[in-house]
Amino acid sequence: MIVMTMENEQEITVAATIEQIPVISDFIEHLMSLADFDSRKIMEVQLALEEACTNVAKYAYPGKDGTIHIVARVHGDRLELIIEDEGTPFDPTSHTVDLSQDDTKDRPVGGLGIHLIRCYVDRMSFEFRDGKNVLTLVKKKA
Amino acid sequence: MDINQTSIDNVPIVSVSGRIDGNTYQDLETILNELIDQNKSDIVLDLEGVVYISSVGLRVLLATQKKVRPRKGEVKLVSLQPFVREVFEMTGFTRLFSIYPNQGEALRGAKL
Repeated sequence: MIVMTMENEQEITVAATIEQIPVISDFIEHLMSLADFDSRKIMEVQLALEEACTNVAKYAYPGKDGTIHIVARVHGDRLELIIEDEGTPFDPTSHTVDLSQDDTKDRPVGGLGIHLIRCYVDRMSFEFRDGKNVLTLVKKKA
Repeated sequence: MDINQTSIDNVPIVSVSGRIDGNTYQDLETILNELIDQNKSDIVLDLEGVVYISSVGLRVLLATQKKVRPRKGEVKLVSLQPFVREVFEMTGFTRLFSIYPNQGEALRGAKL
């Protein structure tokens, strides 16, 4: 369900499942297009958001259903995304992945998502607040 | 995402277009696993039509590469578009795969 709260702010709540990724991608594409972000920046944010939401879908609610709540807000040349879930506490900002191995067999298969979030946003911060994981991502227009 | 599968001289060529994301990666994974089950060693994966790939797609490619390497085979990638190439560079995947400008170059030297 998408809710318009202010002119430059929208929020959406979806089930925490992989199947909802296209809904989330369409949601952010629409908002960023209205705010005149170029198509490349939109794709970068879609990737960061997909990675963040995939982590929630896969790990936040083991054995039970849950939701992801996203608030997207544009302030001037900045997009701020607040991604909340009520699942298992998990701070993605505390995780790093070693990408130095050139040999395929030594390369870990996981951990790439958090690395990609870092690559494609200008700021990433986390807090566990009122029983919720709250991940904030910021992307500048230029 | 659309996937088209052909072969030249018994080397499978998988051409993908669209987005490889959390909602589509399983289709690609299924086709690549079928080729593994058929004991293929080299696989040419043409990504000319792919505009977007997320980590789930990268994992499928890495998992396939890990399966063909012990057979002295290789997943050969063709025609990476700018955003996809950048994702490969950001994750160090350009060091894990051979990348070719077209199918002909990738097929040169491919094992049957």
